[in-house]
Amino acid sequence: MSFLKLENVSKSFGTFKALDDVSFEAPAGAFVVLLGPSGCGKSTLLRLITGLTEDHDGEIYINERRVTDMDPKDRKVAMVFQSYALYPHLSVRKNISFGMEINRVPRAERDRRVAEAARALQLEPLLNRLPVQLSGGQRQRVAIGRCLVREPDLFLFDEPLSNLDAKLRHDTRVELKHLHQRLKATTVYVTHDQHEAMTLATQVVLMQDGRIVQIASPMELYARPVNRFAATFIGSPAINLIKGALGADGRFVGGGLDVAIPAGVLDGPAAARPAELGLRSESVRIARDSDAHQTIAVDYIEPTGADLYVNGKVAGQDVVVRVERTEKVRPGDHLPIRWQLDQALLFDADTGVRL
Amino acid sequence: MTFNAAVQRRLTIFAFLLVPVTFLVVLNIYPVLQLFWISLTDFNSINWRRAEFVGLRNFIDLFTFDRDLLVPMTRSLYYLGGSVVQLILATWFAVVLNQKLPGSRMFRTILFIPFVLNAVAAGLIFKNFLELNGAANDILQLFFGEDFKVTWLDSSKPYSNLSLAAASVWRYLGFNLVVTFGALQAIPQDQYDAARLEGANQWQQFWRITFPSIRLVLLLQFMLSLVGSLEVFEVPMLITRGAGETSTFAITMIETGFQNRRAGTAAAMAVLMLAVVVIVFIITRLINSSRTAMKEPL
Ligand SMILES: Nc1ncnc2c1ncn2[C@@H]1O[C@H](COP(=O)(O)OP(=O)(O)O)[C@@H](O)[C@H]1O
Ligand SMILES: [Mg+2]
Repeated sequence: MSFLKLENVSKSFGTFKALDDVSFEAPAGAFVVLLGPSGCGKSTLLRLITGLTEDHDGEIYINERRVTDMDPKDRKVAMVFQSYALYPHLSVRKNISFGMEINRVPRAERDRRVAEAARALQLEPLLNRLPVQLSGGQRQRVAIGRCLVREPDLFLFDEPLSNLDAKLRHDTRVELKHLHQRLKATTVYVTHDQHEAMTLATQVVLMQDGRIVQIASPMELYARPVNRFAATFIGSPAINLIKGALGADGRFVGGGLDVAIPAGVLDGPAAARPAELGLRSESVRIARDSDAHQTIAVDYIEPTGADLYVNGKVAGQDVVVRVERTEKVRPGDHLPIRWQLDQALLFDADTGVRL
Repeated sequence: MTFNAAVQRRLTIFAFLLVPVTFLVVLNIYPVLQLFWISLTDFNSINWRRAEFVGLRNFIDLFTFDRDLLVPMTRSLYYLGGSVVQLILATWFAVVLNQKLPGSRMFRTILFIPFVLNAVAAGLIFKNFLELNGAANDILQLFFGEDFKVTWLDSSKPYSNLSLAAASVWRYLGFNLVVTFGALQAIPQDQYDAARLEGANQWQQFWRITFPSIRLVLLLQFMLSLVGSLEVFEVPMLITRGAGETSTFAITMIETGFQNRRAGTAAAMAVLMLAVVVIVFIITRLINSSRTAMKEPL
């Protein structure tokens, strides 16, 4: 049974189509991440779910209720804004209880819920402070607390981590994951950061130019992207793409390669066409013997601690491969490599669709 | 001879300050000191040599047999009332115009025009509007019949001050509007969105988000109005020539100083006005800082 359901939702601003026929469903307790590059319509979609942006085509259902024409306040959704949108003149306590005061929740009940949220989010020592007296991470927890106390059907987050520094972003991400696992609250989370999407989502909705590209679990999105855009958007460093052609015999020729594509890589039967071979940086090993496919001329090396990312050229094309940190590689080296072709992805060179 | 960096920096600062400080002293401080001095003499506006030091006599006289000179100060209340109305109207308009409705720019410009208009032109427009055969009476005649006529600007009647206060509202509303509008623009839309999600209606949004955010700006404007209403001059001068009931403290002061040649008394009046302004200013500051202190948590 789906808890959140969007049916053929479209939205235009004047002549500009910001969202084009968007449909997806999510079960109760799902953590849905709307992922896509800046300007692809993620925030617009989130605001349509809240009702803050109106006048769209299609239908929206939350918890079995059709909310399409409902006022934002009646939809039982709570949102953490990118700016946190805390009320600057109110203390943390007042910020959290703002909605309850508006809705005339009795004082005792208000205090109980604020205390509960403050405990869950370690806000107890901060309750009497003003937002200006808080760090970015603390402000964010207040914004989350404000949502918690409302006990909504649906939690919405719009790029909540983008104002935090790297370390805090990681910690907060972990906290969000904990929180979700504890509360099992259905969540829709907007981000342009594929790493956040991969680590948080139970279900990723990948978007581009107002359309849904793919809906999948993070691992499936990584392993079986529907097209070249999905394959390049997910994964860091970006997937290596080698231009060439696929033969009817199931061989890929191009970029200095002439290899047989293993069974299971292609979804259908091989047909001759211009194609691109996608190989992720980890789908490779340094070749010891004469089994090398190619050699990489090393330009520079990015150590990440756990591994080394070797950036170089293969048959004139830029390529990144991941090798063990114990490998002795230096700029200028020529390294024999062997691709793990069973992990390869093949795309139609013209349409970008995965074959 | 060479200077080290610190000396050079100080010399530079000094050189830059020289011009403004000179202007300040010559154009501000010196005249104010002179004003204080004149208020302690019986200077007759013409002959310095015959001016004599009289101590606080001018001030004492103001509160005794020259008391009539202070009466126009009470007319400030008309203008103060007007400016409260003006501030409320301006805030209301600003909030409405901030809703990004079509045409809101045009409205803002129209309401701002009287403020940038030349004072004489603005005075003439309003004078024509309130004339016996002016537009105001014409419009009212549509509702109340041909015989309806009000002498809005009859300066022998106290109510003419209401007309003048209305003129003042019309003239200065645009200023309040633009200032308040600027303050409104600084409030992030996200706060309103968050409040809407939490169920706050327009009224609650105004009192719980908008008002606290522009409170200080409103207070500042109120303070300016308060001071302004003590110093009203242009509007009555241009529309009724400050005659009879419409004379204000500033107008009386000028008459005393230049027509009646009693510069010492006029200077004492100016010092008195300055004192009231300073007191108002201090009180506002006190209210303000105690409010901030109350808001300060922990
Ligand atoms: N109120 C609006 N009026 C006109 N265009 C808008 C409005 N809101 C968003 N857009 C446009 O819609 C597109 C999607 O915006 P948005 O949903 O904010 O993207 P994202 O959150 O994915 O970065 C952008 O091109 C943006 O310029
Ligand atoms: Mg966005």
